[in-house]
Amino acid sequence: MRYYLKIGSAVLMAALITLSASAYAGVDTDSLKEYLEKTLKQ
Amino acid sequence: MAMEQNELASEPKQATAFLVLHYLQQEAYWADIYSFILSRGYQKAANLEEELQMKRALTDHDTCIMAMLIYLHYSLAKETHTVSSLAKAMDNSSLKARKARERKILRVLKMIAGYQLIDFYRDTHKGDRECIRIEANDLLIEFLENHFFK
Repeated sequence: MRYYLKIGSAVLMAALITLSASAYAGVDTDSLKEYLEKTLKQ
Repeated sequence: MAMEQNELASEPKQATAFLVLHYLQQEAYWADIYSFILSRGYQKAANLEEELQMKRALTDHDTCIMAMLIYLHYSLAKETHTVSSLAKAMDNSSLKARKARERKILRVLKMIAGYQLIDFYRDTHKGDRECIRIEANDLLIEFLENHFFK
């Protein structure tokens, strides 16, 4: 029983880490910089 | 000499602190857009939870960047962004990232549609490709031109 609980909590933790990583998706400043440089050149 | 340079580098520069403060203040002023639309007659949603979610989506940093990019494209190039081109400007690090950004932009546009700041509609490019075009509304233009930068 303890064994299954441990596996369950590990799986849950991994899922939470994956979710939080995918939830973090701020603006990519490299792309923004590239876009602004291109826009200003025009 | 090297020690002196290290000491200088560790001292906080007043000018930089001022620039940082100014930058953060400017970021914070984006939140004023909510009181601005209220002053222009916006009626809050009856559901308080829904209104809070909409407000949160509106005052988000990414929404601020989105709004400014839409305005910039409109004012400099006299063109409108599409969801795809806006996503490319905001995150072009990979195809997956761009597609995720497109979904996020659409989600935000739908969330803040009630504020009538940004219009979006289905359209076609010069070719036959379908796209979703985004246009800044007069309300957004007025806020950015007259009330945002202080």
